[in-house]
Amino acid sequence: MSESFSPDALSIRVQVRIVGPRRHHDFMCVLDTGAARTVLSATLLRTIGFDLAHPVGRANLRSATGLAPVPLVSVGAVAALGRVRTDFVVAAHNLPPGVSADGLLGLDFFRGLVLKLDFARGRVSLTARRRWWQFWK
Amino acid sequence: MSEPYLTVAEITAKYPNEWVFLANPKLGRGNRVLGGSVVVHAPTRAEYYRLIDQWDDPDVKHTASLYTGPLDIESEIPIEESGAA
Repeated sequence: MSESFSPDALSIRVQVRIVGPRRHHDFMCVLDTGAARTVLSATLLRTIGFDLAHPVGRANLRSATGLAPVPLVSVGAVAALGRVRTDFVVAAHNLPPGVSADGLLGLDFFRGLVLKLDFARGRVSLTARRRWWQFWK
Repeated sequence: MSEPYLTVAEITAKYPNEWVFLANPKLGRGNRVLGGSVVVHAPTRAEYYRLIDQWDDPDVKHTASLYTGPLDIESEIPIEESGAA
């Protein structure tokens, strides 16, 4: 399954669904291969029922405003680009003003999968790695 | 919750260049938002989050974020991780 994006756009937006304790929310995120970790709005995570006062850990995020310790939250399920990760840890942090996104879909979401960005056709896809015997199909 | 269902085109016309929080959104291919009931809207993300903090409706089980302005204006994402705290 692939999704369309504008090859001329300055960023690639993807819808990221998070299943929370109280409700699920579709975040408007930026696909960011420069971010090691997925970052989602702390406000929205709280709204869908996550308790940020009891995080599974903390990480330091360096941003335009300096170094900020942010809570790490384990979410039951994250779905984006047709793939689902379960028990996935995200950083809860509201992105700086001026960024028109609720969060960043980072490298941790893509690990072990094949991310294809086709700027000629404006398509992005995330698929499972094919095993050698599958190339015969 | 009694807000009417609006399509993305209707929401964009009514709230141009705004952040919109939708209840019970309808999604299309690639989970693109097609419409929903507007419960919060604001011109800045900071104001949007402030209003969401005040909102709660236990009957709403699905929500979505939508930005009705051009997405290319602000592109810098100055964030990197420097290790566990």
